[in-house]
Amino acid sequence: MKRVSKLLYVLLILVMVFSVVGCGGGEKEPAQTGDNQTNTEQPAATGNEKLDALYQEVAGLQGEEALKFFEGLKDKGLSDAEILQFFIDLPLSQANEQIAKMYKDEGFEMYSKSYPKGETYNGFQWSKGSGTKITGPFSKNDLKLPFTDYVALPEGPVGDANKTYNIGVVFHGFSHPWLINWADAAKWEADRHPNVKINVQDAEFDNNKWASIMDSFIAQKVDGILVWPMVEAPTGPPVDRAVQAGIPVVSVDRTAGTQDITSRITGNFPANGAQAGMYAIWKLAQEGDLNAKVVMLRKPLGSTADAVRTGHFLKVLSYFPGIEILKSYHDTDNREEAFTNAQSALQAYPEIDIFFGTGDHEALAALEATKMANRLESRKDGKKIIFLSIDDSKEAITQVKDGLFEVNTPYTPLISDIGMRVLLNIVTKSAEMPKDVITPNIPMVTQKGDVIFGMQTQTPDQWYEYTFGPALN
Amino acid sequence: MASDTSSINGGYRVSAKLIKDNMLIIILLLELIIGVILSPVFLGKTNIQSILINTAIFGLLAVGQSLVMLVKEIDLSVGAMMAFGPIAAIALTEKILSGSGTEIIVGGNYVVDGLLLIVILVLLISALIGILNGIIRVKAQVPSLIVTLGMMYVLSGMSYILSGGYSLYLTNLEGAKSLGNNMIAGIPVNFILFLVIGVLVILVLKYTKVGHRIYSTGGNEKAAIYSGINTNFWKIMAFGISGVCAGAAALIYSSRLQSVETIQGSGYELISIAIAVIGGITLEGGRGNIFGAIIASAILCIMLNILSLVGLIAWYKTIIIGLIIIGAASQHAFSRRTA
Repeated sequence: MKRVSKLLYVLLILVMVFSVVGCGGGEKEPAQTGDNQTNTEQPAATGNEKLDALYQEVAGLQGEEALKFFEGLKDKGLSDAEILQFFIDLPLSQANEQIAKMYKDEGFEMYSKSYPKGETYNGFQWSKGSGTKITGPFSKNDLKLPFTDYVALPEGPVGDANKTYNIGVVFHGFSHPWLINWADAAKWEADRHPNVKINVQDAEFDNNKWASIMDSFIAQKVDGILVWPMVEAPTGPPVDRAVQAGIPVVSVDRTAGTQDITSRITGNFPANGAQAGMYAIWKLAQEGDLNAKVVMLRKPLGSTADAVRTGHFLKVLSYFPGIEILKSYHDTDNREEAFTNAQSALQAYPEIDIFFGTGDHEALAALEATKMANRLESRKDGKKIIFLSIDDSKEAITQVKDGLFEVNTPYTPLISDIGMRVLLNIVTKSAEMPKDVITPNIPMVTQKGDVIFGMQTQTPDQWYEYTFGPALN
Repeated sequence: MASDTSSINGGYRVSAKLIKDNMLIIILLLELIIGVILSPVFLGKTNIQSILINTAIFGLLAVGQSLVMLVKEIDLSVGAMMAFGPIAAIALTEKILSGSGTEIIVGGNYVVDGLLLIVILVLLISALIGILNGIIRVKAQVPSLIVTLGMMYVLSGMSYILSGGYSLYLTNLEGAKSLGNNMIAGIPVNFILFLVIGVLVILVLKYTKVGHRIYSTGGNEKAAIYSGINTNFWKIMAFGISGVCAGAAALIYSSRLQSVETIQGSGYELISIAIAVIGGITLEGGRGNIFGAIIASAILCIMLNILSLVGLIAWYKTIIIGLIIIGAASQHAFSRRTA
């Protein structure tokens, strides 16, 4: 018995060690960077001649020169939307070797390429003040849906007024403030149409349950399905089964792991990352020093939200050799974990200039941990640590208003109403819908409203009504 | 008259005993009737198949968990094992086959070769981890709650390290979808596999000395030791079988979703315990049977399916499931007191 025990101990430890060490521990081989004459990758043609010409110009620039180039974009005749697009499609520079290596090692290029891009449907442009105020049917939160004019559908019966259209909705997280508001927006839209009946199901962050719910919708032969896929890989086969059964499936926000989905409504992950990068450089330039140490508090590794946002953030920073990424910490979309990560960073690094959070949990946790550590103004000359936040919860926007967060780049859950309208158009054959429906980019939010590389930001008061989550007392 | 009364009382007692002994079957039948009443598609082929696949996944975990609970232990690592088993197996297969120049992962995260080796390694690794749980439990005398809780964290961390947090696609791996999706006469292959394993375990427990030793180990360990039973060995065996069951459940899960992800199976350890409890297995060990656990897994999956079909939102579902667990445990406790 003792011998067998010992043998098993040794065998298992060998398996584990072999698995972790021998198999590379999940690290990818760094790609070759090559000896380019310029700092950037050969920029892929974006199809926009004006931007392509600018990328050729910026290719050899770094540091102060790159900054000057960015500052001159408005003078080159670019609109706000074009300036943002310039930063979104900006090629990676080799000027900052650490960032360039990180970008390649984590495969951000792959995420960036596969993320749907393009023009908004029918050239829609969002304007401040538009949208509709609602009370969330599930959360009872007071919300304002910003895009109710996008793919607009009049109130009343859809398609054949004598027919009831059964729509299945599957997502995760009635317990999650962002996700419950996602469900709110979808239900609100469905409820505007008396002949639409929806069944909203929460898979509670279990992809097997998500698949089972999809299968039960297929069994019910619903007319269409609206989905929020948490991750790509396991959500592909159930979507394929539904599509094969003749049921249109529309995803909103994250994408499912199949190309055969009927339509995808995607948010503005690339803009979020690019805007955070723009703000960081602009702010450092305002302070007069382009050297900074950055801690990245990130969402789960491998999630589209984390990879696309971080990748676009790093691309902007890659033109500045004085930026150092101290560390990336991942959590599982959990604020407590993010808080622990922030505490660890504060312990490990006596000098931190910037906290970049790839979601509002992360930035809020960083702020809390920094306050607790009494490090809010611990930078050189007593300057305040810069907090770059993404996701526009009421709490995050309030921190911008109070001057604790320098910037918020909004990402709203209140886009599932667009998905519902797209789905109803498809189900009722009322209008031809594109495969990819792009959500308009939203200007970043800063305390006083600034002009950043020629782009006008908005103030917390201007955006507050569109934020998600419960009202703050 | 007196004889009439006693025969009525006798008949009542027989009926009451019959109901008490077959409570789970009665609940299952009631559920089926409720399902048919509440949803016209409940008995549809696709829906039944979906229920059976879920029953196979949860049932396998519950069978393994029940064995562990029968020896008065608990296994909290089965959920994490469902992720670690396939991830480690793929990593090892990649390493082993790379020697012969075979590339099994292409495009970053598409697994394209090595299915047979992956399947064998999943079961082997899961069994070894289960056995390790058992060895630590009996040799270090650490409560299994702590050992398997620790193992759960270790496995979760290692899954992230090995996979880098990225999901692996099995969509281009020939044969990978068979276990999760293929049918024989309209019945999912995985459900048949589950039934075969379940029946095998039932027969072994009922008709061989193994069963007697497992029940004795959990029922009264000291007495079992005095009667010459190597209780440590049977505890290790129970953990090992639980590992194999978790590995098999992971294979069905991954095959169904044609992917492997670091969070798969997360929280399933508690569901497996809940099913075992509903099935009549006690935390005190040595009581209950695997048949009950099999029926309980069907009860839970059918219940979840009905609640989903009628469109009840998650909050109510969790309340109902919680009440079922409490109700079932109370009913079993009551039955034992009045037996």
